[in-house]
Amino acid sequence: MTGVDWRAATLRLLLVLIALLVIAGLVSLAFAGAGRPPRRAIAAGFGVVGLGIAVGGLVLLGLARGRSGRVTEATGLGALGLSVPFFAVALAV
Amino acid sequence: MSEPILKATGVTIGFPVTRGIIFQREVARVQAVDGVDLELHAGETLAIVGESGCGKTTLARGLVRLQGIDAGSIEFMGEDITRRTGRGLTDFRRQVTMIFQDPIASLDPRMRIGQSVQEPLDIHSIGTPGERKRKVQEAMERVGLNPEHYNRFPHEFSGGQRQRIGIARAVVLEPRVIVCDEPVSALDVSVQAQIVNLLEDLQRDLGLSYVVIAHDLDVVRRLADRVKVMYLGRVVEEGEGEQVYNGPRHPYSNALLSARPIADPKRARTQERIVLQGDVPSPLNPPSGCRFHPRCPVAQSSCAEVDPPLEHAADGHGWACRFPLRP
Repeated sequence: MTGVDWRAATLRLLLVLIALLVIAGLVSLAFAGAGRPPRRAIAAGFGVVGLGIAVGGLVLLGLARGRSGRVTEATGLGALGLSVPFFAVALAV
Repeated sequence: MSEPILKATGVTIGFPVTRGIIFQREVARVQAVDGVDLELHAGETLAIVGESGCGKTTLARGLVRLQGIDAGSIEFMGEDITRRTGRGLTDFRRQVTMIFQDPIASLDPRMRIGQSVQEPLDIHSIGTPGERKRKVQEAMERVGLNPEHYNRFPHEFSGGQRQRIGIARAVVLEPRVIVCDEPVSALDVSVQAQIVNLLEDLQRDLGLSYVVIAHDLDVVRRLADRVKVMYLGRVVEEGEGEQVYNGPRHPYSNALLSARPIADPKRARTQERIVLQGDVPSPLNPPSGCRFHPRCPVAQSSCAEVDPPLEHAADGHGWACRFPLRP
């Protein structure tokens, strides 16, 4: 048995972050296209994605409680934590 | 005896069981193949038999480097190819090819079969486009396919013909060794016989060596010069085909042979069948001592403590059992 492969873990984390940022950007563009001013569109885009991540985190926490073989409570908490910067951006702009 | 063309020493292949999604941590390891030694000589057929999940296919994939190995080494014509990458690995794969179990899954449904058979030649940059097409048509003819069907798609062929396409793809590179992963198990019995005959003809004509992974012990008996019996990732018995078939020494080999169906009803009625108790233990947590002891009909209490090594008799017949059966 070995510990965490930190290089692979960092790459996976980066990939997830980039994917989420791209999604947030696309949602923001959709809001802007619907006629919202740019700042509000960004706030809405990041807010929606942040909410999505938080809900996903809660689902993962539920799966971890249900003794899923793969998902741990840390995964759920990590996802909840990941939603914080998206909410922060939504509130800041 | 001559130097082996393909030699594996202490090959160990495992798969991690992980927890977590981003920060994955290995919590256990499934040891699919555990310290397997193997030697294949030129023109020889070596069969590896055993029940589902014993690690046969993983070993086969490891031999052609489709699967990374955790420990041990693989030598091809005296050269260690265990850590080869890039060009060196490509050169090795020109010499050692594979026939896959499922002829439907192993062919791209959107590629014409001519393209499928030609793909290895493209990858290895062999010949001009015209020469490649000629080689493909020769290979198709050699395996009993009509070269005029070059432009057909896989769904236009029967199961046996699709397996012939897989064989054509394996022989088109003119390899030295072909690893056949259950080449006939997806086919009906009459087609099985045709494919077995084809494999024998190709071996005779092209001087091929085969590693054959199989469930069907009768197919193995027909094809193999030597047989290795695997159980839970380890070789439990090995020897010449007739040694293992006529006088199995390991209780597992004996049970495996007794489970084989016999076509003659009279003989089948008198045949003693050994029904093993229990299920195959999990490779995540294999039993202590001899891995077969929880299901073994002749196990003694000490079998749970001592892991028997593979011991060989003077005639080369080997078995990993402290209480072997009488021949």
